[in-house]
Amino acid sequence: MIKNILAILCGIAFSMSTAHAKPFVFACEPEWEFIAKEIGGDQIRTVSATHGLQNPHFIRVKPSLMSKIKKADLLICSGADLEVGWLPLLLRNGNKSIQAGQIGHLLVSDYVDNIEIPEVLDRSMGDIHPGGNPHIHLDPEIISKTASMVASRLSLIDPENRQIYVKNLDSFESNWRSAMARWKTAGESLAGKRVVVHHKSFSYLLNFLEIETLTSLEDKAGIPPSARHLSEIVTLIEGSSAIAIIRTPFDPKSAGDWVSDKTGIPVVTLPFTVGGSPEATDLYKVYDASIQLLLQ
Amino acid sequence: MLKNLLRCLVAALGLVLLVPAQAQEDVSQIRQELNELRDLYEQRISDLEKKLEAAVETNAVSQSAAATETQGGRSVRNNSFNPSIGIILNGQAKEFSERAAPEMTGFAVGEEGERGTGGLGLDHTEINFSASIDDKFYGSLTYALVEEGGAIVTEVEEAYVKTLPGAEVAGDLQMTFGKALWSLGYLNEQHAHTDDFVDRPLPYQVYLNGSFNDDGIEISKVLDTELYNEIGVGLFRGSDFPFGTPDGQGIGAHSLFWRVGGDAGVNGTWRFGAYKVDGETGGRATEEGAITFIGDTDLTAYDIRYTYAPTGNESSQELTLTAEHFSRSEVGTYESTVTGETFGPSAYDADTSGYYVAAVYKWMPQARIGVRYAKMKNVDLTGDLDNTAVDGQGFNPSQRTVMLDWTNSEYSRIRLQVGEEERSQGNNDQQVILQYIMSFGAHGAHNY
Repeated sequence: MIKNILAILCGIAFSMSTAHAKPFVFACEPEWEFIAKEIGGDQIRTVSATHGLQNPHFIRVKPSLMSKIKKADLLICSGADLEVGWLPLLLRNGNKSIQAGQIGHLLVSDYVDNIEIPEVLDRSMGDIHPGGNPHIHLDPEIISKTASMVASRLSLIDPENRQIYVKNLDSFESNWRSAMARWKTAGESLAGKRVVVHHKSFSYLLNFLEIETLTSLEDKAGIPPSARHLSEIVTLIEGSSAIAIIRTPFDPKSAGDWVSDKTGIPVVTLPFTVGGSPEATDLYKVYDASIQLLLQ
Repeated sequence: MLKNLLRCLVAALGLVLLVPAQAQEDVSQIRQELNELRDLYEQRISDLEKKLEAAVETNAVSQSAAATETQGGRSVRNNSFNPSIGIILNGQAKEFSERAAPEMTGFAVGEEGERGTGGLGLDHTEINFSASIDDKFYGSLTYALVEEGGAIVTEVEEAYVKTLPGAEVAGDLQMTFGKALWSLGYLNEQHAHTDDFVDRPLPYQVYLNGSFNDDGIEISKVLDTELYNEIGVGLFRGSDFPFGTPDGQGIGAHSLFWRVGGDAGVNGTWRFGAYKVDGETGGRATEEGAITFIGDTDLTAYDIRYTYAPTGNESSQELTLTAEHFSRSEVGTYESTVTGETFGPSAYDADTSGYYVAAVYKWMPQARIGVRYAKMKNVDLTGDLDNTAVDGQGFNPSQRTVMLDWTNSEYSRIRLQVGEEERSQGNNDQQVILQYIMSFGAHGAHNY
């Protein structure tokens, strides 16, 4: 009897120690979770700390994130201070393998050239990011670069499935490249056009499509626009030709609506990331939908 | 009919017999195609492998290389500003209908439990330094400059070291040692500048003199469950409220806590906590040193909190509901040297309690409204302590508060609070307070 129990216990202990747990990817934003899924497929488990309708700059460290970060094998975030309000606290409560300097720690901004790096750092200018614009996922080249970084990180974390990650990376690469060509062609007529943005959330996409940013509704980043600034924008728009006022699903609506009312220029809400609109179910569709919406 | 069936059968049989010959040809053709495909595929895989190896080599192959490579091409900005320094400026204008600060019936309270006087004045000015000390430790120091009786006093609010995941403490434990805002109820762990109201609710004023930040050590563990589940123990000197004047030997007080929390739907969260701290009090001075308690103190607290942001963005709209309950059981003696109200060390054995409930609603990014109700339950004493400061005298203090605040950015906030406090019978103190809280420098993440 005791022997049997011992045998069972041994069996359980053995199976626990040898069970190959799938790598667990903790993405700060849905776009990185999408890339992890493209590369990792069924070989990994993923979670995103934020969803497509959330402004990733302002979330609170909630209990469920505290329990998930403990189990993460790979952390993928935008970096450049986008998550500065919550990631440091999470990391201090995370595990060793996702700390800075480890294979499991990937802040994409550390590896790419962010644009709009401010020359003067002073909070009187609003909530500025010394590391530059952190909304890098709207640059398709950065996505492609991230995919290969994710593949190499996953290969190091889980060498057994390395061939699968490489294969997935290869097919993602070719799909993404052809999609990029498609977007370039689709957005051709947009080049040289001007838009007004709410916050500088779309700078990378606008650069890719060669669209000019006339101005932003936010006078100072992170601080709601003043009435005076908005009326200046109305004058500015009247003197030039902007095709739209663009905003994310989480930007406050009132400012854009007011300017649109005064000028007759449409407000367009772009999905911004995966889950940002019902049709934006993956990152391809985020780009597809954004270009379609801008063309309308 | 039968003939037809037979014909059918023969045809079927013929077909069956014919197929293998055809199939034989197909199979060899398929096999050949397959071989070609495999060759092609193997070539492709080995190409890809080479590509990956090259990528991995430049990225991070060996662990040693990885350590430097994973820091990327840019300088890590957090290190260039080491340590983080944050300053909180906080000032108030207060108007009370009761000129003289009313006493709290049934409780002897400390400095932070007094209502204080009105007029213009600074509240806590906080200075915080924090940084990762190395791969294993994180340190934080928070000073508060407080005006007490016309002089500026420096208080150490926190000076602690916390182990980082890199310390790999046995059993995946986390340790905090030094002086910290320990795990004891929801508000206790928060710095006062993050509070939703100008003043702390009555139970915090009475039982913790604002907050419990004794010298000590806390060890906790986040359990490996789907829900957030944390258990912990603490060992303290026993020198801070609700204790005082430790004998200077061994452990003066211990604590035990359990916290659990999770998501409530996509955009909601909840958490619940149970806490217990008990210890020996060698002499807790209250009422400006006039009343002293000596004996055993046992404090139990429960907190529950729910947050809901309609779109997931707390920064635009959010509702938070918080409730906490405290109960204190004390056995010992109370002594008073208050002029005209002196009483000798008199035996005391009683349980008191207090709770508060608060709701705060942010209806637009910059504006919030909050309501709070707090009530204390004291005990009517007989004998030596009858009709003294610690006797309930049939009256329980209460507090009703409404606040409205405006937040310009995450760094500045201005708040208007009106309240009504009944600390003692017939003392209906009407309060109007205007407060500003501003911060600059590094601004650490706030606890959930």
